Amino acid sequence: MAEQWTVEEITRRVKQVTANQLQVDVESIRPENHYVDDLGADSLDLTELAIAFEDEFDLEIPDSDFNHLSTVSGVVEYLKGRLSISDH
Amino acid sequence: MRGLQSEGETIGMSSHSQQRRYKDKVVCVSGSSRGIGKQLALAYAQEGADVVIHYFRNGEAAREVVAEVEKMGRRALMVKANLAEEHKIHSMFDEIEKYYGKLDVYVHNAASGRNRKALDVDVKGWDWTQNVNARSLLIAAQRAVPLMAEGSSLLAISSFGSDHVFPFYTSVGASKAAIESLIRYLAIELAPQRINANAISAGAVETGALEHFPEIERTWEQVKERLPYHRMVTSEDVAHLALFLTSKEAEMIRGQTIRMDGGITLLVP
Repeated sequence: MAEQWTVEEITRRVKQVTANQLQVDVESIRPENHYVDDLGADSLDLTELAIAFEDEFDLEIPDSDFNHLSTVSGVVEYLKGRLSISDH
Repeated sequence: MRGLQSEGETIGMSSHSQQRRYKDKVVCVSGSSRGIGKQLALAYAQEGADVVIHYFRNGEAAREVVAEVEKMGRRALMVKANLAEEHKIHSMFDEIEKYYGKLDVYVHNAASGRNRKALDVDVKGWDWTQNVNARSLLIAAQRAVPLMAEGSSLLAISSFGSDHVFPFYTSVGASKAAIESLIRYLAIELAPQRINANAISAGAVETGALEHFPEIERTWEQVKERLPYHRMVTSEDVAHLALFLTSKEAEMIRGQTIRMDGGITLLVP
């Protein structure tokens, strides 16, 4: 049976992965933050972020999808669509 | 894709192809979901090999290559691995060992890089490039050789950026120079085991791999203008050479980087 996720847990882990990869304070990350414009990510950072999200959530994120994910909330929304969400 | 359309069709050397030079061999091509790597994997499968399709970010493309190989009646193991990470390379070879139990040819084709001028390259980008391109060859060779019998081969895909200056190619060019040097050491060290090692410096091959380089369109035009044969090197050209270099017929070519550049580097500027 697929692991059940809550939106809160997805959001928390997305922020934590983002903080680890981009070396920023997790408390400073806002949903509307743009990875390039606000968090300073470059192309290599984005590649590493995609890999880190894949490892964290145990799924494959094609470049064709990830290239459209520019903000923290965008990643959370994408993952909500890919993961099994619990009702609680 | 000239010459690789269907099972039994030749790839330009009919007598050899009919004999299936790589029948029942196992060939791993890193970065084989697209470009040169894809062409190489299909060419080896066409010659009878079972293959390992390694990819990093493009699983959909890798699955398409696997399907093409299986249509030829050969087996294909699809493995995802970030070659910048040592443990991922080990995992890849663990899978190869478990699935096939041996390896006859390892083609080190995958490459990545930070495309910047020398003074703009940062440590993170440098390390990434060297790890994906060069360090991974060392680790892969260390894992591949124990799976190899006499007559096996390592082959690295290099580029003329190793000894020529190409715009924004600094970190990749340096990594390619490291690859070529490592191949020389491997060729000598592995000679007693009758395992060969060579490299192909493929010049400017027109694939999507270089499309992210700034000013690439202008560079392509300059290259084509100067090429004596007035066409770019293709991935099919590289496949023809690769299949020869990893064959028994090439066993006395050892530790060499064979340049395939249409003759452009012979010209006086």
